[in-house]
Amino acid sequence: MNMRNKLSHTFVIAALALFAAGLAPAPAVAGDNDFGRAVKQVESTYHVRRSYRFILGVGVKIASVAARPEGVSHLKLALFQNERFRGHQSPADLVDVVRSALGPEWRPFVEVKERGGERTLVYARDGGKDAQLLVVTTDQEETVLVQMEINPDRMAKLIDRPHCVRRSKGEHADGDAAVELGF
Amino acid sequence: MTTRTTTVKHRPWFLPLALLALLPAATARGQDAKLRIKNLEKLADKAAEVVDVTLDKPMLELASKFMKDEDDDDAEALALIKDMKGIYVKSFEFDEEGEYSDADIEPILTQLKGPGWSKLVDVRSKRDRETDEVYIMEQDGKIIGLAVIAAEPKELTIVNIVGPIDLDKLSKLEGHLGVPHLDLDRTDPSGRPQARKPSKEGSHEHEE
Repeated sequence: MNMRNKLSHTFVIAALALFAAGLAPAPAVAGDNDFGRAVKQVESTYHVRRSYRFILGVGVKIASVAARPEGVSHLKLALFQNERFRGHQSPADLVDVVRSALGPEWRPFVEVKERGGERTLVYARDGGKDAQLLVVTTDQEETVLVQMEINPDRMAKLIDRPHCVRRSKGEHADGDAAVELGF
Repeated sequence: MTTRTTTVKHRPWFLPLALLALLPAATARGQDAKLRIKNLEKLADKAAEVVDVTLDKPMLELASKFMKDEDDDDAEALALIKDMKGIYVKSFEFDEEGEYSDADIEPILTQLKGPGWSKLVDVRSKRDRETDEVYIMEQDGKIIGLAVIAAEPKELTIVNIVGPIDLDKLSKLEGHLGVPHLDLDRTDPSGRPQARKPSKEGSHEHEE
């Protein structure tokens, strides 16, 4: 039995695309407050501030808005540099901290733990026509919270192959950090 | 009437004790097919990767909203999950062979030896060095839960389905909703599913 039938779709959430999404303020949607609350919870628990490193140099990259993955909208991102977590170099309890900030309508759906401390947790909730996802992913260096709305097609694929959620980190050729969620 | 009231009043321990005495019977009757698969932390420490998929009732309802009726596969899976209470999948991937043993999954096996559970399929393939065990929980002649332990040298998967299950249609869930391909096929003369192992030539063989 091989469970590793990864989908051909690689869902790239690049800092670039996220910032581009952020430039055009998305209309308020249900769940916005939850994301803000989760971010504040992380900030107050660990005495950290989210990093805006990925904004640097964005001027020349606006053309890359198209990098936003198909079927995804209302992206929100909070990036934390883990070295700023006072006394929490590896915030193993971060997922619990985020969970405590979310309402019961957010369902923990998939969780991936990797040796080395990487951890990804995907929450889902009904967003009406679309589904809303809140992804918490952390490793030794960075912690990222992403909220997004995904259309029924993409949600159907995720539901069909939930175990294919994978996080991989890399850098774009231009040096920007990128987080990729493959599903 | 007065006497009964007095009895309870003077014996405050009576009611809790009575409820406690009834508990085993109630537990046996209202058996819960949900396994405690979270308590495998020791095993998780050994694994290179652990994936938990949780599709509880609210999540299944959300899932069914996004599955498409017009897609045949989805429609059948949709019908199957309609009354389900939950699908839980936990899989472990190891870097090396032999990094886990039966002792590591003892917390699960112990639960499966409990009342209500019975082993339905036990397939041990020497060729693939793979073991598949399927357990069901029945109540009043109906299946109310299912558990699968699929073990490979470097991979272990535990599936727990809670709720009424039509074994005829169970194979429709394989490969969907986090349920791995179990190659279940209703070929048993008793009407119960058996694991099917397609050989390289395409024929089916049963290794039990």
